[in-house]
Amino acid sequence: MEINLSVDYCGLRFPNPFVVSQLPPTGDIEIISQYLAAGWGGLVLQQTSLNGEMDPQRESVLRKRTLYYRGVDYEEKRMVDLGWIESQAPVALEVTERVIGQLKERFDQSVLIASMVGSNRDEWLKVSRRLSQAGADIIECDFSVGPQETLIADDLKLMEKATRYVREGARNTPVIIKLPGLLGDCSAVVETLKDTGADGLTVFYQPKGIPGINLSNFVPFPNVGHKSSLCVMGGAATKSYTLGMLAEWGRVESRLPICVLGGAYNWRDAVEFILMGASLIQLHGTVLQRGIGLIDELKSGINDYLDEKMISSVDKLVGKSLAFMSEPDQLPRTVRVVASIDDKLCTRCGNCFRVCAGLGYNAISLNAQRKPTIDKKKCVGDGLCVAACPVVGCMSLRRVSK
Amino acid sequence: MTNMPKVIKGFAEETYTISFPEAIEEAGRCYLCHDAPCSKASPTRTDISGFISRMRSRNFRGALRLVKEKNFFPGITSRVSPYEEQCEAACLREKYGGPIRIAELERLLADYDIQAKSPYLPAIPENTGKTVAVVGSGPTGLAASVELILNGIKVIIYESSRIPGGVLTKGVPSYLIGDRVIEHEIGSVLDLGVDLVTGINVGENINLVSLKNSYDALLLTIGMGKAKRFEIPNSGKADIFTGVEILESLKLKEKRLRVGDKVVIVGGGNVSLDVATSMRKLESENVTLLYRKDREHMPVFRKRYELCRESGVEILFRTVFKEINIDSQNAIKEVVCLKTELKESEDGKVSAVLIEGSEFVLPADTVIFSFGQELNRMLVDLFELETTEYGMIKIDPETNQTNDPFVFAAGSCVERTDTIIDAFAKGQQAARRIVEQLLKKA
Repeated sequence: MEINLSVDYCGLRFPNPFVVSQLPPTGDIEIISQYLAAGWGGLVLQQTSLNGEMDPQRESVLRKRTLYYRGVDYEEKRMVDLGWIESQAPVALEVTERVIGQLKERFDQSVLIASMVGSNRDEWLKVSRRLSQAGADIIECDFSVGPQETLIADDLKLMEKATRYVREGARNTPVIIKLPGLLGDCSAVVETLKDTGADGLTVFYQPKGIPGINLSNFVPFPNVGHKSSLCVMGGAATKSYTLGMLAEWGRVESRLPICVLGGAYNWRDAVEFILMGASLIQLHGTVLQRGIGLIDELKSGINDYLDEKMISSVDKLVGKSLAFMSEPDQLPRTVRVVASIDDKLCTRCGNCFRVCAGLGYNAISLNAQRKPTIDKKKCVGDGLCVAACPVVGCMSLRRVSK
Repeated sequence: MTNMPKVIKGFAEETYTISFPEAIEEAGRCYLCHDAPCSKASPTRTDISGFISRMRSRNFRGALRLVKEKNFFPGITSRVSPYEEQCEAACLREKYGGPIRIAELERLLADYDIQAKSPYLPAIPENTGKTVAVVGSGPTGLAASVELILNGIKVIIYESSRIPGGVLTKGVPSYLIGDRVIEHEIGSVLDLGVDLVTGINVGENINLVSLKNSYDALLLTIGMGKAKRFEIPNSGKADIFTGVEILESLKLKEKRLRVGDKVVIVGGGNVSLDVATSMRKLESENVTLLYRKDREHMPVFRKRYELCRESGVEILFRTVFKEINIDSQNAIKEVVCLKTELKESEDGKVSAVLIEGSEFVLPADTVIFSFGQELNRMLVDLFELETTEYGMIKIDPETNQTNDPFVFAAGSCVERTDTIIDAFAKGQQAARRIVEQLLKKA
């Protein structure tokens, strides 16, 4: 089956939904070229501001802009999560103009997303205009920063104003707004942004984290000279939060196409994000960990999945799972499910028995050979045993026919 | 021709040590089963999933403590006891990717203790005023002593030889357990406050009456000290040894051990395998082991057997020793062997029956008998203890008491004890029973 991996986003066609997010942190154009040559769907450039760094490669600047990473391990599993301290030091407009110029010469088919920040009319207008003139395919304006420690995203009036100016400056170039997670009234935000001319959203799960603490000297990770700071978190462990955030955005009736950042570790996560309404997936930590070639694995994963599901294009997947969301008190609780065990896969480890007994349901018993049996009358179908079973595919919940 | 003496320097330990990152990954494979079958299959009932779970959260001291609560000698047992036939055989990960390498994880913890600035030492409870004398400092005696002192009973061990440890210091080849491990783990028993007196023959140097005056109970853990051998007429100076002798001289690094290049070993137990393997490691060219039945009848550990085969030992199955031909200079010339055939009786027992006229000759210059050990009867006779039809000390299976209620006995001197970890477990059990008896009276 011929699978179309391309996706429509703000009227632009991306060859695939996988976008590299602001990598490498040095802005090295050779490395960016390698990403584009490897077949990534697009790339978000370093954040740009009117008074940003003129020479981001200078050593003192690099040091100031350095991201400090720290992986989160869980027992034997390494880097289930990744945190990094970001320094807010955008590059100058001139630098990004030059980068776009050089990249467009070599990769005229690639989608370049220019990310910008501004804090007043002049900046919003001027930066967006010049990025648009330089040839950026999309302008992403970050509202998760703002003047004097406040977020633009916290102020609906300010968002409206900023969007209007960016829209004006960007002329025909699509404008997307980058928002930190969920905001009070998502519907009002979307309405406002749409009315003022935004074409799409980049959303990411906002709460920051601390990857851990060195138990021998009490200093949190990551640290520089024994000082630490809150981190941006991204990686497999944050996936569920990102997915939940997407579900919430998905409840908004008036829709803007969504690009999601953070929490996707592999193609499965990406597909889940798409099913929950995202059209584009921005990746950062995973790309760092797995390298440029990760794109082949992602493309192959989603391609084979679609092939197996007999779905011809990624576009058709977007938002498919939203219809299955409901309020907790509206769940059809009369539908009965019970746990079931594939005896051929079962190892007799007894974890299902332990968790069920711990909940007090006692629906699972072990015989002398440790074989588990589920008492369908006692089973409430909560699924904790399925989660606790260490063998992939061994336990599942089955619907009971009446 | 006399054999050239081989100079023994002792063997370096060859046991593989798992690396830290590998151990963490291996620990992560554990399912942490409910009511874990591995612990049930462990002779000492070590809380295996408990210590693995602690390793996973990087609590190595806690993990070691948990191991040592049940087994005070993890460095020793994890090296020589066949975990692959005990706890690892019960591991449910068998189904997916093979069992957890429990022995290797436990060994890492034990080695961690050796290197620790302050090795694990449990708190000793208040003394109950009772004192027990333990005769023999092999695995059973050591484990019993630990159990006794941890129950507030004062312990004194009497050991007839110069150094304590029994089979640990005299029988287990150093390529299996390095000396530092044995020193550390026996040392930790003494660190608990157990008294040790070496070079004393209980019965000869101290009589039963004075023992009864000084102690509340006596525990015999004297093992099966005497190796069985065939009496070969006119073989005075010929190179005929027992397996036990060979292992002991290797262990004690005695300077000269006269073994040749054509060694025949008679017997098919673990000791025979160890002796044969050791001979190959000493570069004896042809090492042949004679066993009367087939591989599956050998009462041996799989790993030890494999180690033996890998070293290049030839094993002749269904073969028994008949006699040794000695030349005029008193040197061994050859061994005469006989073939057997296996007969299965109605109750399924397989026995080897000699085949008449099947004699054949093996060129040999050294013969080692290694087909079992027996009780040293000296003490047993002095104390007038009853023995069983198998030549072991007779005890009450419920209490470990001999016909003299003051005298308890445990380990291989009372019953077949196949592995060192079994010996430890039996020592523990006997000690618990003594504690029960002594504190009940009080």
